[in-house]
Amino acid sequence: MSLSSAKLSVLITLALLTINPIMICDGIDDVVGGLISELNYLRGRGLDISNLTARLSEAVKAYYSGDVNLTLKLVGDVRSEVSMLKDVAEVTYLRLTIAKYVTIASLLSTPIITYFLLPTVYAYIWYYLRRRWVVR
Amino acid sequence: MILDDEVLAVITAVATIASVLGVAQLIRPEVSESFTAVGLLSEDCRVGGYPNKVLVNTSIKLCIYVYNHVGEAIYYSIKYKLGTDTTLPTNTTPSPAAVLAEWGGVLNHGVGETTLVGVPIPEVGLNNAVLIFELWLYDVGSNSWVYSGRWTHLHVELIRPVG
Repeated sequence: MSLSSAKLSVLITLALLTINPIMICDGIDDVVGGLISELNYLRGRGLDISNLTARLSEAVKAYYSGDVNLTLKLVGDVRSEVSMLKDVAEVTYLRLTIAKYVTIASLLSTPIITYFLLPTVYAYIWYYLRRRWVVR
Repeated sequence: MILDDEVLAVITAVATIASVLGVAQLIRPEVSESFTAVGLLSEDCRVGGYPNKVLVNTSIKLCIYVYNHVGEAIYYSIKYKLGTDTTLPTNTTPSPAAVLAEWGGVLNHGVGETTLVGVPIPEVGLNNAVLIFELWLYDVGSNSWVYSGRWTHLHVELIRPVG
């Protein structure tokens, strides 16, 4: 019973693998559109997607020129890389957001720091540079 | 006070302006005006040198330039049609002529791409025709192609072999 169910699962897997290329090539727009959505999501999280868009574009061009195998390979590559990048997307977004707001806070505090600290710093430097002066 | 009050006021004012400009740069939207562009180039992918007479039932080589500045990656398609002055597209409607060929690609934001394509010239019973290249974008929300309102065209004289 367990052997026949294992055979059945292998057969189903093989069948899915066999029809998958046809499914992808019949609905190239849906496949590429879905990947574009995911790429734009990653871009919105601050990740560089230029390499992936170039490869996806290559896949589309391969499809238009009739090279189904290359299309499938490139789409598969992009899809696996997108799923890998999704794992780091949130961490990257958090890191970039923190960096952004820390920069904004630093920039906004610059005038206040300048107003309160500049006279002290200036006086310190002024006296430091004249420390060897002798008043006669 | 060693540092004069007026000098301190000027320095603080300069620091305030620089700080505000810096923050504005950080929080401004990446794209203030989004657009796409499509252009037609010659066989050598240069402006000018376009064919003005083409032989029917052959194909000619042309370069098509597409640029993306919409703030995100796009999936585009160039739809090629052969029409006349009366079937030219507008900014809102595509040409009613039939699609004869299509070329597609994916572009990241801020990226342009030039593609050399073979443009088929079928017999359509015209002496003067217009090669129309429309830019369509794939709308991932509705999963359908949407005319971008951008097109480029080339007027040509169709010639046929004698005899």
